[in-house]
Amino acid sequence: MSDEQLMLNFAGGDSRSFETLYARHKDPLYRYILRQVNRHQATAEEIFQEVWSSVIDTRERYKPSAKFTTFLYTLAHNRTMDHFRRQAVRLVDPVDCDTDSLEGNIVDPARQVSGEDCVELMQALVQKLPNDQRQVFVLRQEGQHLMEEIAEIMASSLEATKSRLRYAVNKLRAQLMQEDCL
Amino acid sequence: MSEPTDPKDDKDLSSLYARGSNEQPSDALNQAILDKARKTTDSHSARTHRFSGWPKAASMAAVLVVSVLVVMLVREEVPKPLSTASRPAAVQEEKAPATPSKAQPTPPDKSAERRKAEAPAAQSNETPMAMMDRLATNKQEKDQRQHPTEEEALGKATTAAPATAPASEPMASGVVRGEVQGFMPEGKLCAQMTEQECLSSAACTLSRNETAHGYQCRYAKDHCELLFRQSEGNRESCEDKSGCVYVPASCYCPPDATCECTGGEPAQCQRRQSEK
Repeated sequence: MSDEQLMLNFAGGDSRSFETLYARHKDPLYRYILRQVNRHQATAEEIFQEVWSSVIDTRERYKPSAKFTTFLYTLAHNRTMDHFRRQAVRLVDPVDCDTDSLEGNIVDPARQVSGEDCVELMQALVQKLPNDQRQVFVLRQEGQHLMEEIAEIMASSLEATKSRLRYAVNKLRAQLMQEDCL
Repeated sequence: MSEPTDPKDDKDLSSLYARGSNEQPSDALNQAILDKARKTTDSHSARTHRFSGWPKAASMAAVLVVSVLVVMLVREEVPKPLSTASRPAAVQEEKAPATPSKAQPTPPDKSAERRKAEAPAAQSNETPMAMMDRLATNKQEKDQRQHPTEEEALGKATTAAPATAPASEPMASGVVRGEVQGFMPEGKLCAQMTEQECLSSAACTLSRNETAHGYQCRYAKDHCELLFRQSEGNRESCEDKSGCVYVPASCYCPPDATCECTGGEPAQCQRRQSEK
């Protein structure tokens, strides 16, 4: 059964449909939020709960005009932005877009890089990506979204979204190849 | 270096990312969210169940109130023939065939009432519905001539009755006002009512005022509108009366409601074209 149909069933009072919907999307959504808040677990859980509460509270107004995942991740994106606003945190990109500035996070080249190191490096590099690029990359990886959907979630143009993803991938690849992880 | 635009094509990159991407929300968090969803759906179904029978109860209450009103009006009707005792014998003889037996009051025959309402000479034997019908028609005609205020119109309706039917004066002037007010437990004239009060009133009808681009609350103009409460009205309650046709609301939005469209007529109970 499609997400949209499950959501409609839930709006009609079927809690089983919500359980199915929740099981499908909870993990990738949680990881998406976690990546946006610099892997701060308590904050991620708070936002995650707010997002699902919104889904529950607005179920009767839900109209399946867009994909459910687009609706869900748009809520998550907006809630994350609200969180930063509440905290008066200025969304400053952690590093400059230039890949050279990632050097501080690189594993010592002199030692042999293990598989686990590469996994850790990958996660660290994702966190170091500029916010917009990180969001696009994580949405693509976690949510399995089409580029058009990511653009809609982030309220940006398709071209800008593609461009951000291209920058993100190139940076990650360059750094990981340098560390013999790819 | 290649420049992939789709990371899914870059299997190594995706694979590396996926290996480190296994965080999950805690069980407690999962439970809290699922509990909230369950509670919400439970209260939803309880609410739905609790209110599922109210329209039936409301309909029964409305029928009961209308029945009581009709019984009260019929009781008031019984002494009427007594007031005709002082009339000239010729007038009484003329009316004799149409006068119901005092000892055995029969339920009002609606088609007969209409006929009586159309015959001024028979006004003293009018049932309350026919009387309201006639007065409303008189008032409407007067309104069309001079547009008096509702208070004036009501006063004229009660005092003007003798002009059209002198024989019925003693009864009409007293009963008519009482009956009109009896239909308005709110103790207000139609023009003083709010839109919602008007919709709920048995004696008043809310209709669109084309010139003022709004709504006006006016007296029921005939037996079809009389006792038809627009807030509760349904086809059966209207079309049970002979010669009446139910016209459903068309793009009307009651006060305090949120509707897709508004500005049209509320539900009406009208005379059939052929009856008018």
